[in-house]
Amino acid sequence: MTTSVTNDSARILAACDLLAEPVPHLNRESIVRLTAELVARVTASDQGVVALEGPDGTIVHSYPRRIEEVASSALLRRASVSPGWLLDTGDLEDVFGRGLDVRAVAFEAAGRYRGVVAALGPIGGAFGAIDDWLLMVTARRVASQFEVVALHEDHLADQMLANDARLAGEVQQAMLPSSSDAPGLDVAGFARPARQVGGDLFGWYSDSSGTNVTVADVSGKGASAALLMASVQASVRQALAAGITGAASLIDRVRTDTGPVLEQTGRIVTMAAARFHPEPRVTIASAGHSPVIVRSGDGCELILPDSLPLGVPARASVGRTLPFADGDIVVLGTDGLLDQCDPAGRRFGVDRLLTAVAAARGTSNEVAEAIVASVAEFAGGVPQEDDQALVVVTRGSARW
Amino acid sequence: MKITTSTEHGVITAHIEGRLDAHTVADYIDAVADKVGPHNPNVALDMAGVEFMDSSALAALVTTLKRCLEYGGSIVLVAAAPPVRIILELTRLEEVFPQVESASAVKTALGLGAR
Repeated sequence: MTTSVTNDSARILAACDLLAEPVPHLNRESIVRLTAELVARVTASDQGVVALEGPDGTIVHSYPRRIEEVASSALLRRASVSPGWLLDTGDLEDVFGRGLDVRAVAFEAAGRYRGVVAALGPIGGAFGAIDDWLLMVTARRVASQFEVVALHEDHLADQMLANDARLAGEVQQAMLPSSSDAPGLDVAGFARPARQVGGDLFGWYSDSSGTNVTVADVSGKGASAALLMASVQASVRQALAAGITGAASLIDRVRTDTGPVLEQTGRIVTMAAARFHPEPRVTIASAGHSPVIVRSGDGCELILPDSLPLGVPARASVGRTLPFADGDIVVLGTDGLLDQCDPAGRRFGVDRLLTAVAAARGTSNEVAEAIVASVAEFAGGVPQEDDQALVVVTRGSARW
Repeated sequence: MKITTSTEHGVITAHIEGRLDAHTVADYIDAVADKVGPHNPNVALDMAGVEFMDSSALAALVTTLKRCLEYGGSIVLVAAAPPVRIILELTRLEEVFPQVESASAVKTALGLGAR
C-alpha cells in the first residue's frame, strides 16, 4: 500500500513537473514519439501510443510504428467524440490484441490537428484513476505542443509568402532595362509597383536602324499581374527578335500572342510602343494606353490610343509618325501616375502630368525624377494605390 | 462601393456608387457579370455615382461585355460620371461601350425598342 501511494505520488509529481516545463519547439514526429514514451513512463502501461491526424484527415504520425493504421484509425474515430476526456475503448481489444486494456484520451489543437494519447496494459492490471488523470494531463500537454507547432507553421507560411514576394520583386526589377544604352537617345525608366510585384512593364531594344521602347500595364495588381506581365514581355522580345520592329505591327503581334491567356483570365493589357528612327522621327502606337506625351518646340501633346487594349477584340493598330528633333522628349507612363490621389481625393490626372512634363529640365533621368517628384508632392502622403511606371526618351546630340 | 441591381425583361440594371477598383471589382463581378446568361443577356450600368475606376474595373466591364455578346445581348453605360468618361477616353474603350444620358434611353440603346 505504501509502495503504491509512493508510486502514485511520484507519478503525480512527474506530471506536475511535466506541466511546469516550457513547451519545447519540436517537430511533429518528435512530439508524437516523446509523448508516447512519456505515457509509458508516467502511467502503469506497457506501451504508450500516440496517433495524430492532419488537417486533411490522414494520419500524419503515429508511435510506435508497429501500431498500424487500423489501430490509429480506430482510436481517432473515437477521438471525434469528446476531446480531453477518457474515450470508450471497450471494443478495441480485437484491434490491439486480446488481453490488452486500452485507455485513451483525445486532443485537438488549433482546429487543425486531432489526435489520441493512449496507454496499453494488461486487462485487470495496474490501470487506475490516476492513470486516467495522467493520460488527460498528457493529452493537454501534447495539445499545447501542437498549438505551438501550428503557430510556427503559420509563421513559416507567412515568411515563405513574404520571401516569395520579395524574390519575385527582385526578379521583376532584374527584367527591366538596367542601362540607358540606345544610340542617339537618352533613355531613363522608373518603376514603382504598388505591391512587391506589379503589372507594369517597360523596355527598350536597339538594332542597327533604330530603337523600340515599349510600356505596358496589365489590369490588376500583384503576382497574377506580374505573371501576365512576363508573358507580355516575352512576346515583345520574340516579336523583336523576329524583326517586327514597327510600333503598330509590334502591338498587333503581341495582341495575337497574348489573346488566349487574356481571354482565359479576363484581363486586359494596355500597351504603347514607340519606334525611334534616325531620320529623326518617331512612330508611336497605343493599344488603349495612356499617358503618352510628346514634348517638342510646339509644346506638349497627349497622344491618344489608336487601337483598343489587348484582350478586347480590335482592328489593327495604325500608329502615328511625328518629328523627333534634338531636345524633344517622349514620355510613356502608366495610369498609376494619373490615378494617384491627393488627400482631398482628387486624381493627379492628365493636365497636371502635362504641366510636369512641360516644366521638367535636364537629362531623361532628371526629367523622370521631376515627374515622379510632382506626383509624390501631389499625393501629400496618400499611399500609392496602383503600379506606377515611366520611360523618358530624349533625343541626344550623339550620332546614330 | 455600393451596388444595387434589378432584373427585368432580360436586362440587368445596376446602380454603382463609389470606387470601382481592384478592391471592389469582385463585388461587381458577383452582382453583375456573373448574372449575365441566356435569360439575362443585357446589362445597363448606371454609373452616375462612380467616383473612381481603374484598369481592374475596366477589365471587368470588358468581361461583362463579352458575356453579353456571347448570349446575344449588349451593354450600355448610363450617365457615366467624369472619372468613367475619362478612363474610357484614355483607353479608347468608349468605342465599345455605348453611353446614354438617362435610363429612358437604355432600351433603345440595347436595341430592345422603347416601351
